Amino acid sequence: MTDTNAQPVIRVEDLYVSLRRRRDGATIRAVNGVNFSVGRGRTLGIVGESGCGKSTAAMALVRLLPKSAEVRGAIHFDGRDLATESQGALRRIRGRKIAMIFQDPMVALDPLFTVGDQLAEPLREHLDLDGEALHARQVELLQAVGISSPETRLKQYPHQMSGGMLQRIVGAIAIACNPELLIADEPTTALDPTAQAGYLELLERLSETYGLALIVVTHDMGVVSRICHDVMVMYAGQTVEYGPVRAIFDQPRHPYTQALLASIPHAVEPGACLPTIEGQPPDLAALPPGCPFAARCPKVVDRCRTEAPPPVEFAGGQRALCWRADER
Amino acid sequence: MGRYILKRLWRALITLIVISMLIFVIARVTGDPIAYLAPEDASEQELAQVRARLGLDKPIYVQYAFYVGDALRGDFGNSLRYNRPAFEMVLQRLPATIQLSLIAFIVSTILGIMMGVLAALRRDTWIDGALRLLAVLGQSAPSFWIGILAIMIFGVHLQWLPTSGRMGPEYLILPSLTLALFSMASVMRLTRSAMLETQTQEYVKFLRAKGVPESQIIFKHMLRNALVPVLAVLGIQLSHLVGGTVIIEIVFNWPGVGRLMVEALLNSDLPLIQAGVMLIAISVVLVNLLVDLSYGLVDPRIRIE
Amino acid sequence: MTIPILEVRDLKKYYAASAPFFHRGERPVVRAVDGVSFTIPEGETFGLIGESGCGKTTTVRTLLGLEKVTSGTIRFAGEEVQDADQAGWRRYRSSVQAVFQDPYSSLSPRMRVWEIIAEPLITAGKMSKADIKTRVAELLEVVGLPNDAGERFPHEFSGGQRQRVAIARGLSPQPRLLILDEPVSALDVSIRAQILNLLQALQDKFGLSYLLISHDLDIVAHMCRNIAVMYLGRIVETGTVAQVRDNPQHPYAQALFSAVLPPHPDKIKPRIRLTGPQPSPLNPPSGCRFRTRCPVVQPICAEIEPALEQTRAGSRAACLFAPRASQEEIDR
Ligand SMILES: Nc1ncnc2c1ncn2[C@@H]1O[C@H](COP(=O)(O)OP(=O)(O)OP(=O)(O)O)[C@@H](O)[C@H]1O
Ligand SMILES: Nc1ncnc2c1ncn2[C@@H]1O[C@H](COP(=O)(O)OP(=O)(O)OP(=O)(O)O)[C@@H](O)[C@H]1O
Ligand SMILES: [Mg+2]
Ligand SMILES: [Mg+2]
Repeated sequence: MTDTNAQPVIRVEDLYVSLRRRRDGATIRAVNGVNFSVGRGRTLGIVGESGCGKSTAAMALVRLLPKSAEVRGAIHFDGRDLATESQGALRRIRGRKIAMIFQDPMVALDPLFTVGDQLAEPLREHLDLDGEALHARQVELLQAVGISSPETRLKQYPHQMSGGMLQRIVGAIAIACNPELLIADEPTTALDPTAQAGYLELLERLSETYGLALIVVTHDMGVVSRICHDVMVMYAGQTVEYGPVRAIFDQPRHPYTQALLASIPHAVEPGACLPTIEGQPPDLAALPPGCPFAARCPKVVDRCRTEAPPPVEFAGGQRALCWRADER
Repeated sequence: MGRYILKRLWRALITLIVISMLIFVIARVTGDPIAYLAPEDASEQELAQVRARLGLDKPIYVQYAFYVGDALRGDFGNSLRYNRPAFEMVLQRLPATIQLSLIAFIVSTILGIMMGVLAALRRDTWIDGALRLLAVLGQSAPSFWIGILAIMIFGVHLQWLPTSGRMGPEYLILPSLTLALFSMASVMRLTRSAMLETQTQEYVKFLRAKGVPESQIIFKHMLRNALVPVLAVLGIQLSHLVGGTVIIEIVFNWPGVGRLMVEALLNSDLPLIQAGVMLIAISVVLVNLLVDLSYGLVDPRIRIE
Repeated sequence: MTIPILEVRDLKKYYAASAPFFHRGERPVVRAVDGVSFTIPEGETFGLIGESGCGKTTTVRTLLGLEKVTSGTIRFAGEEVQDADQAGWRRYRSSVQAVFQDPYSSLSPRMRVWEIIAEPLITAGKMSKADIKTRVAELLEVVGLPNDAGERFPHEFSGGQRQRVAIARGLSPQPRLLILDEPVSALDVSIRAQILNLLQALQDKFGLSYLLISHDLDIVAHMCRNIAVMYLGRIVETGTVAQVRDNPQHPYAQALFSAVLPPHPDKIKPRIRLTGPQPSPLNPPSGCRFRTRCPVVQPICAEIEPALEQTRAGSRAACLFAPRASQEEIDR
């Protein structure tokens, strides 16, 4: 676990994504300079405000964005740059080498096909499994994610499943072909604590035995602290803070990270008002100059509003994007 | 599924009963057939005799009961005009109408879906534009005008196709295509928008994330999902088609029920009208039933209650 | 005694499992909800928690009339509603609204956000257009969406923003009971906190009652007075938050609370592991339903089905081995 990113599985440099808003044709700058890498057997957590571009960044890695989207930067994976790869080549990577778990399990499956059908697709496509072998693998996968009576469940349709079951099925589909990189967008939101614990253990096991590299997008700090090695905090499409999980929890440098950690209900007595971050995130179609968090930041100084802060590096690989990051 | 089928059957039956009542009542309140049948100088007494012979002097619900009883035996009375069994006359003409509307139905459904898929996949290109223009034309131009235009171009000018009568398969082409145009346009527009909507669905993105080939995503998943709303309106399309046959049959001189009905209407030939409308209604209800059942086959959420 | 806002007695919901078309003999049934009872006092928040697939959403769907009740009674403000006439049912449905866990499928993709929020108001038909507009603007503000959000379509929003739209719609007809099925699981921590604060403020102001379903037990503990823990279609333990969370008596509740992840790597404790697969609601185990995975199972558990009984810790639990309260403790 200590031989960190010797040969990262994926390395993302200066990723920018802009989307076209159909309503008025405005350009949404959803991702604005994201840098990270994930090594074999390592887990990166991505956290940040709703709408700050986490899912967009995750989708951009395998270029599953609307046609109008523009992607800039480099995505190094398996000796090539996915940012410039053709869709045909990407198709052979998707589901095989890079798998994804989508944010909302209730709508990730086609309502007209059985769970079994949809689980079989990647197995047929990438591994040429068929007949007995295919069925055995389907059952094995459902069992791995903790779904009982897999034989019956395979024949059922998505609307006959509970939210948590769907989420685990989506997970089973993602790990079906033993990918090298798994991008999990909120993989456990619909799971109860025991199911979540079992599921996270499964991911951890895959990561330890097969060297699976894992990117977990989540709002749940419990999940981050349980399985992540590194954390990336995003705000308005930027990486505002990055570092080992302990450092982020013990010494958050960016005011946004600090505010985020303070608003967890765990620490507050029942019924009392929970601390929140006042104000609204900036409109991604019209980002202000300077630091995007300035308007809501308790430590704001004049400079923040006009000049974009540079990354400040700390010991242990922690870095933050803030003019006042090294003040304590 | 069993319950779903039963429910549909029940609904079909109710529909037929309501239609039969409507046909009956409407026919009785619109005009007095006696005025056409009896000689113009007939006396009141003579008129009353004719009425009594035809049962037109009884209370209306009694007339209806007789009518239903007879209808169930296939007896709609004799045509007032031709004095032949009305049911038989309609039955004779029915194959021509069924042939015409069924072919138009199949053509409009298949072509409409194919064009809709194509337009959606080529969204905002010239192909999409051309297809949508065609759809607007198909939906807004009156069918008699299209029919006459088609006769002028393909029949009179180019002399490629026959334009009148029903002598062989080539006689079907122009009338069925003309008839199909309207509903083809609506099926196409609906398919196009349904396909565009499925394109934005998360599960389509997830299929891409699984590495499923694009062709399989389009034709296995997206098309089947897009068919759900399309199937829902096919029944209505069919009713439009059957209604449309009347005009088409006149324009192309097609010997079907529609033309017979127009004649019957002009003559206030009640039994003939009733037999014709009833038979058409039965066929429409039956096809609707088939469409409903196929709906259950496509969508498991309906099949499994 | 005041009349509770919602009283559910012995609620059952069975689904026919998919079987071959011409299936002979008894059709298999999924016992999704199998005898659930709970009471929500007016103005309070009641929490329903439990294993994924144990029937929480199904309970909600029957409460909303989206599924037919198999058996049992639902009483709203003292009135039985499951067999109510149309007018009674309509009255009930306008006072009970729901916010579901999936922010994508619950919002119609073709409607603008303001139409979505205004829909219950428009169907009720009691407000003028201008009033509806102001109310929608108010609601957008209340859930923290920008003013121009009303003119946009749901797919233009992120998952979290969509959930705020759903909450605004749930609030718009001014319900008395709001059912929240995983209302904040798609939201980031800060907005989650905002929404929870908002829900509490609304409760204080209007005396709203909530039925809250969440897998985040911290949230449940923060919001609720009383909670019930479900397992495989049944309630296995119920009581106040303090009783159930701090001193759970049922082995499943113990395992559940031990698996909660604290938000710091240093605070993670070992959890009670449940061995064996989750049993299926198609044929639940005989006797105690939890016995197949229970760490303290005894032979007798296969024979006797335990009922909810008062425990010494104050909660009521359905386990033969939970320490019972003595008669005088119950009287106290
Ligand atoms: N197809 C799209 N067209 C236009 N704007 C979009 C589109 N998809 C997302 N956006 C916008 O891009 C921004 C980033 O969205 P994204 O879904 O990546 O957020 P997120 O960080 O994943 O949020 P959440 O935690 O709520 O899931 C949001 O402001 C959203 O409104
Ligand atoms: N329409 C249906 N047909 C058949 N079985 C169903 C149907 N809907 C739900 N079920 C079954 O009922 C059980 C309970 O599902 P439910 O959605 O109520 O669970 P839940 O407690 O909400 O779970 P989660 O926390 O995962 O959302 C599951 O076993 C599910 O498969
Ligand atoms: Mg997201
Ligand atoms: Mg649920």
